[in-house]
Amino acid sequence: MQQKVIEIIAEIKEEPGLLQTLSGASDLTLDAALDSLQIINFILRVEDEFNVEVDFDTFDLEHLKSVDRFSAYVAGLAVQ
Amino acid sequence: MNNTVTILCSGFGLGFYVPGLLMERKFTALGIQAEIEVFESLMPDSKKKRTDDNRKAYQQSFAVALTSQKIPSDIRSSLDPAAVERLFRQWKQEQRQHFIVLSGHWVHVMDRYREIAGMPVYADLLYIDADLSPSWKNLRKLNPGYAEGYREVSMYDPAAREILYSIDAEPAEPLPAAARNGRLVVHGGGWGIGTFREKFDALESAGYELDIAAYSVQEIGQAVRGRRYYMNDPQWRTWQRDSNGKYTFPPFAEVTGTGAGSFPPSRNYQDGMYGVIRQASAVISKPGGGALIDSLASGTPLVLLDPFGPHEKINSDLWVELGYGIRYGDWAGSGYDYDELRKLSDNLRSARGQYPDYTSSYAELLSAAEGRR
Repeated sequence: MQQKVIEIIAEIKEEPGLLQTLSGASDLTLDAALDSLQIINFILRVEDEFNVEVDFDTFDLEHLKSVDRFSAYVAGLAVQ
Repeated sequence: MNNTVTILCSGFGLGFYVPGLLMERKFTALGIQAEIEVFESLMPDSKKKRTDDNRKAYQQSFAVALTSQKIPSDIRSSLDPAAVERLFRQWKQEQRQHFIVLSGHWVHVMDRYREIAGMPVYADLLYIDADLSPSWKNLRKLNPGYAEGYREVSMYDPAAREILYSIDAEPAEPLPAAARNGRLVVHGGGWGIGTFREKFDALESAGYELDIAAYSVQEIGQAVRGRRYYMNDPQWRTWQRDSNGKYTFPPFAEVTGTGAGSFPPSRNYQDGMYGVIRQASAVISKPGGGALIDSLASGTPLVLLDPFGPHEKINSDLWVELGYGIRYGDWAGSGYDYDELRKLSDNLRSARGQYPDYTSSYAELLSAAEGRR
């Protein structure tokens, strides 16, 4: 999932180079530099890709602190 | 001591702005000084531009707009500390003590002001939706006890299916169904979001003539018989004051596809879209807090489109349960029956005067408190 999440970030940012520079530890707002609109489009793509629905009550800004944390959150949604 | 009531609005949507202006007018009529502040005036230009960019994206895609509500945010990072300090200096100098807060964003600012004011500060947190809208939900996530020391006031009690307060708009008397023009107003709230644009053809095929809110000249196509477009000045922003330093209703005009002319200032609320709404047989829109206030004040029923988030879903349910609105799908199922609209309009007229005006109630409390001092 981590690799797919990075692919979606690179797609949203239109920066293929991010495939090489981002890792599981990368922060989505600092390292990947997703702005607020890009985060929205990122979430939409993730929901579509993994067939999950992000929920305000469970989603937290902390989940954007790393690709790994975000992936774990999405994996948690997928098993519900 | 200063009895000025400071009304803290937000430009996120007109629903968090226009009610503040209506209250300011009412306070003035009641002989009480009132001042408006708009949250975005405390944001640096870069953040204001981002707000504009977001609005355009939300207009273009309802899915993007809805998804924005799933992502928590901390609005404090958008504040300009110097602008906040300037405001605090002014408030302290003028000994401002009485506040009405329409957006959860402002509570961060009020918390700080209460610490430094050096005098008691009284603030109502006024919920203009039937459930917490995003600014309040974000605040609650950051500070679950945010309401401590404030007076929470809900306009609606959805569990009891009740309206607790209304907000008056002039002219006071709604038109009876028979005196209306039979037209339908179709809009997407202050930001032009939702599914309203998909409905034009079906409504016109059912024989209705439409008064449509446009949000750019580009979205006005070829002239269609019986169809009119109206627009708020697209250059106008809620955080702009006029030459007298006052916040205003949006400049407004009927527009055509050949281009927007001038947008004269709206000195009164009825000079804008509200003046069109109060003559129409129904409004087709998402169930925003502003749409509910307009519906109740003008006696115009709502045909309810998809809600912009869970709070608007509760707005929608409430309006249906009270008999003041009908879900679009249900109305379409009736064959777009005009009699359905007339019944809803009659219900609204029958309810006239049932719900206390929030501003008048606040003014009474203020006078009573003054009497005790």
